[in-house]
Amino acid sequence: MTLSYFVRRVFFLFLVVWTAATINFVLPHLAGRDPIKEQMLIQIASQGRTQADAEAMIRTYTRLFGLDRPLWEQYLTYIGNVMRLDFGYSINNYPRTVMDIIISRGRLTLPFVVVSIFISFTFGILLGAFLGWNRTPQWVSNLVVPPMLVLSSVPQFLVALVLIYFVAFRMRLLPMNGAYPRTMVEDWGSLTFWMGYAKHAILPILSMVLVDASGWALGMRAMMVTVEGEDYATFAEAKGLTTWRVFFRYLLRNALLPPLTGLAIRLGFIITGASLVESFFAYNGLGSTLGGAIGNFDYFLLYGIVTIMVMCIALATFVMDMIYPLLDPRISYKAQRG
Amino acid sequence: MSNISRRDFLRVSTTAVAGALLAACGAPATEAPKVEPTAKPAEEKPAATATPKGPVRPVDAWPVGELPRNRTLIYYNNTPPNGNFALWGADPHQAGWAICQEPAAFYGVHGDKQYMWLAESYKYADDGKGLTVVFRKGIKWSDGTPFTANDVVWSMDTLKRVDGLQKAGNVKATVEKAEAVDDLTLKLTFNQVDWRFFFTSMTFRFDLGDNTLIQPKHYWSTVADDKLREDKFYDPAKGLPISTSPYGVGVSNEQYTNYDLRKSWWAVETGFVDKEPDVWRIQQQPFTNDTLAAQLLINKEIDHPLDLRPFVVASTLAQADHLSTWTGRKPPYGYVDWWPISVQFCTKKPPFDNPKVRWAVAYALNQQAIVDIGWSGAGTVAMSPFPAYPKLNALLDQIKDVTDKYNVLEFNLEKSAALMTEAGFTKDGEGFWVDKDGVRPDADVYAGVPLFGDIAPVVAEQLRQAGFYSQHKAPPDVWAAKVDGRASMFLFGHGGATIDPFDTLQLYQEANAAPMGEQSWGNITRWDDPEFAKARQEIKNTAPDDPKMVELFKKTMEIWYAALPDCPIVQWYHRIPVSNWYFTNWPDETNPYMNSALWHWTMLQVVLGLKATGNA
Amino acid sequence: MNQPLLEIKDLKTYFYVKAGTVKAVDGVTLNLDPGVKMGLVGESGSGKTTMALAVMRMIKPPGTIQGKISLNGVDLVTLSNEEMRKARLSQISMIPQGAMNSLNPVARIRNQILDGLEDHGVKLSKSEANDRLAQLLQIVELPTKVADMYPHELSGGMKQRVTVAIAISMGPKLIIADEPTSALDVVIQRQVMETITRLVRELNLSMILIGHDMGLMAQSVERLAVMYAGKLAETGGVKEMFADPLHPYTQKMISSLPVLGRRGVFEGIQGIPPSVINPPPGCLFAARCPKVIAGTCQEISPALREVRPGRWVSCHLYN
Repeated sequence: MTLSYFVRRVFFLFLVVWTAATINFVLPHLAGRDPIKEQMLIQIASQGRTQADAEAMIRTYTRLFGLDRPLWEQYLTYIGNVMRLDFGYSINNYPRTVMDIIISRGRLTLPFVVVSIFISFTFGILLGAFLGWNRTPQWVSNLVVPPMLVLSSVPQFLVALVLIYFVAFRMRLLPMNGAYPRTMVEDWGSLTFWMGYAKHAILPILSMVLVDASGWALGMRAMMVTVEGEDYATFAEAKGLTTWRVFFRYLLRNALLPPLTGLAIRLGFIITGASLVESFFAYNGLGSTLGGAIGNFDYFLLYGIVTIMVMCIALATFVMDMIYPLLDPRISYKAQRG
Repeated sequence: MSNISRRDFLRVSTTAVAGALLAACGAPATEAPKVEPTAKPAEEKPAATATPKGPVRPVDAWPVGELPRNRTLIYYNNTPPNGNFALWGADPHQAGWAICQEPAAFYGVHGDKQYMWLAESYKYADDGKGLTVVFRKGIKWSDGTPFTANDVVWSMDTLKRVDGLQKAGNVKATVEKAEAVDDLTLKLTFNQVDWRFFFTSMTFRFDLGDNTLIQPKHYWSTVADDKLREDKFYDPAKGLPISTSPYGVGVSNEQYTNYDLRKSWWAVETGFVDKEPDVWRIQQQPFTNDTLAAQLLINKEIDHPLDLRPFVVASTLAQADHLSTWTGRKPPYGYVDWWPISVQFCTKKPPFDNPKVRWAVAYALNQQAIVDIGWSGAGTVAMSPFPAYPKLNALLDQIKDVTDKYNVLEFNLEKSAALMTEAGFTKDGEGFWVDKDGVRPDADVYAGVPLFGDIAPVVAEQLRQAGFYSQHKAPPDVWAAKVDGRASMFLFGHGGATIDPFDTLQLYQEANAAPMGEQSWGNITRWDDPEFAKARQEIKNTAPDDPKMVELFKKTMEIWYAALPDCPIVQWYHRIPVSNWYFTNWPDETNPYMNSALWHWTMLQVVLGLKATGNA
Repeated sequence: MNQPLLEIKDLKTYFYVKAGTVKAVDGVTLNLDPGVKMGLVGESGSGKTTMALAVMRMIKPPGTIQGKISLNGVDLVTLSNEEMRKARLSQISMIPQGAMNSLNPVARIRNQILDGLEDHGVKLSKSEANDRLAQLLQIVELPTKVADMYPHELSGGMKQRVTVAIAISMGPKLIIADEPTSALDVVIQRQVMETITRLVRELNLSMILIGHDMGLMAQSVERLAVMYAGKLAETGGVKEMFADPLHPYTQKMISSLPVLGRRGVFEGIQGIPPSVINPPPGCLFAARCPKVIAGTCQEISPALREVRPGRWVSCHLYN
């Protein structure tokens, strides 16, 4: 790996984050809405009270959140915040800070989302490779592919609903919702807590894995068929290699390259990618929080979550850029090749 | 009785009762005390003995560790406050920690019951420009400090002194001076006549009002004014929250908040209440969706959800015998909330600036059909902007000539068409009203909250039938649409009135009736009328029980109905199925001691009314 | 002696697909003596490559193999899968058609060569492996450093040499070279082909060379087999066949060459070959045959018979 390749990538990483952060700043402001006023309004209207000093209150909070300052000044503060990963207070959860929300909610979903992404990927890739393999009996595909086609096109939350209904509600085998038993206090250092968390995570993971793994498997199956048509696949067999060596080192290894790019992108959405599932299981995680922040125009929470999201994506892409040449020798760290 | 001896007494008496029960059953005395499932808690005489069911409440530890499910009341609310809420800064509306607050008094409208609480009595000055409140003896903060009238004085002074605090409106506008005559007597001097201050600012009812949340001066006065807004209300390190309430926050995180019964409570100590509550812990969990709420109720995992939609309630009841609602197991499954829904016109925007057009809409709407189609009949229509509560109904009954003359419930397409024609509209080829330039006026109906998804489309369709070019809209920026005046018709609740009409009439404030082009966020319809303003002011200066009230009300409503700034549609219901498995004696229409919503300021009264069944 | 190295008897490779039965190879009988190089020619789709794959037993479902393929007296068709796998590379190996793409793009040459050895039970230490690699690469006239390169770093000719190195790595008796030079440019073609023929000679291998290029065949092989629509039309010594083709198809083929003995490309014959899906009865060449015997050729499929020593032809003309 050349140093210039690395430096170029790092520069690119910063450029992406900065551009995204700027768009992230500009777009909500284009809507021309006033989050503080709106929040007050809903209170006033729904409580049926006139608030003699509501105006004063709006002024106070507008000043508190710095929304009265010129836009360029707000922008500079914001970029500074992005650098320091400090987004100040959330408007709707005042006086909670944005980072506090991101950390305490993000950690509720991160473990199960990471686990389900990796299970989905590993399982989906192996299954897909197996299904696409010309040595697999046809009846296996006939049996497995149709349900996978259905699953892969069903939204995860529907699977979640079905699982909740049968497994949790009817059979009462697993908890219906929550990130961990509500008799427990959140303590990530305790094994008992992790066990409780794991038990609660089974259904959410299953909802994601059933859908995602089917998607990966179908894609991988198609890739396998393509790879099997390649001359090197035929030649590998003509070389009298063992079945498993052909399968893993020649077929799967080559078919794996496009899905790996997909995995990197998927990992980029790690903190908000399960928003519906998490909300159906009442995780109160970042995905649903993001939805709320958009609905309420909670600028700072929105900035925080989206910036973290962009950073995740950029970072995942960056890591992929770094390791891809190791996976595929045809891609080189040099700028271009013939 | 001192703290410790009381606790010892509880232990001894519990053991004694358990022993007696065991003896009666002939069980070996060496066995651990068991719950006798046939024991009926409801029949017990409230006495200074603990209920003989379940284990002894662990009163030594705070915060409390695990507690039995049958003493834990689990309810569903919006996202829990996760312990970071600030008392003075964030919006406490429906946040779920009302249990930590005790007011001067509670009021339950369905049973028309006032519960004098921290206050023993109150008296307005003869000219209505002052109020004296006498508090009970023996009230203590949870840290043991005695409660005094000075705490109230400090709380009100702070609301006036510091800008941008919640629930400061009434105190700022009305209170000239708050002083403690002695430890138990509060004397307020008003800068205007106000016959309602005790009710609007010191009495908890529903989730309404500018209630002054009475706070411990000895803690909050140590916090700098400019730090008040962000100072955490729940902070175990500082022993917060300090309150007079029997419940404190045990644990609060993203998943749940536990409000645990404290070691002691002034009301038990002073004998103001007979015994400590059966509910040892209230656990608040985040609401997810109707379906999950229903499943959790059926599986006895929660006791009380947010209000659910009628068809969900019906199917939930059908699957579980341990559930009931305000109206038992029959429609409408709920009680009338203070929030009647109407179609609110933007009265400064043509053509809805013309009362004829507004009345044409009123005649075009068939309220009963909206209830029948939208809610399968599980609801009632609204004929005024007031909730159907006894005192308001009585007032309306006395102005029947006005409500008969202006009958918004009348469905009459001919009258509607006649009014439109008078207003200069003609129908185009497709049967829609057009103005003299041939333009169809924008008659889209904006649904203020997603909850209106059941009825808003019906309203829009009825308008189309009457020739208004109308669609049901629920954009994400629905509030901006209203504030900017883009929404000609806006479906929303309004009110505030519970025992007298003033709080609702107050919504139509001339000062807030901004012209088009400006944002309007105070007055729900931009409507004003000098005569109406004058009449409303007279009502304000009149005590609710003053005989003059009927005459004033009639005069005011005559103006309101003639102008019809918004057209009443339906009464709003809270449909809350509750579980009777672990706790019974939920308030309902036969026992309406309080409205049953736990997310309201009045939740303490509901919780105190509950009785543990001891069911496993 | 004179036990043929490879003895193919009535080999049928049918693919059972929805549209019917594809008779890609239909009743081919063929012998190949040790040390003999045989050319296998025919139009595209005539079943040459399928037959090569059938001999390697690499036909995938829905394809089937019937008949007898015996190599040194062992019937490959009856071997277990594992025995057949081991036979590949050590008994028969293949030099593939697509030189550009026959190597695994993500593996170093070293591994691609050693994989084959390893899976045939050859255990080598690191230095032995290096020696072996160097030796194999040297045989195919490649520098040793190629071992540590990836396929995309090699030219087409180099890649094809690597496949040749792999093909001979286990010392097989028979090599099937399926148009080994078709993807290369003309100059490289000759160089690679020279290497292959040199190796076959030096190592005393038998080879089946599949191709279109009659000129190349004339230079490289001793015997020639002509396939038409899945059937063997004619076999014989390459010189006799060029001098005196018997089957009308072979005759047309030879006569369409510009000048005998010079490089040239087989240009084809009027008309198109028949579909091998559910083929009609009779001689499949009948529709294009100038010497068709009415009433016979369309009705009866001609059998392959030895009309002179070493000359086999399937045509009613020689009944």
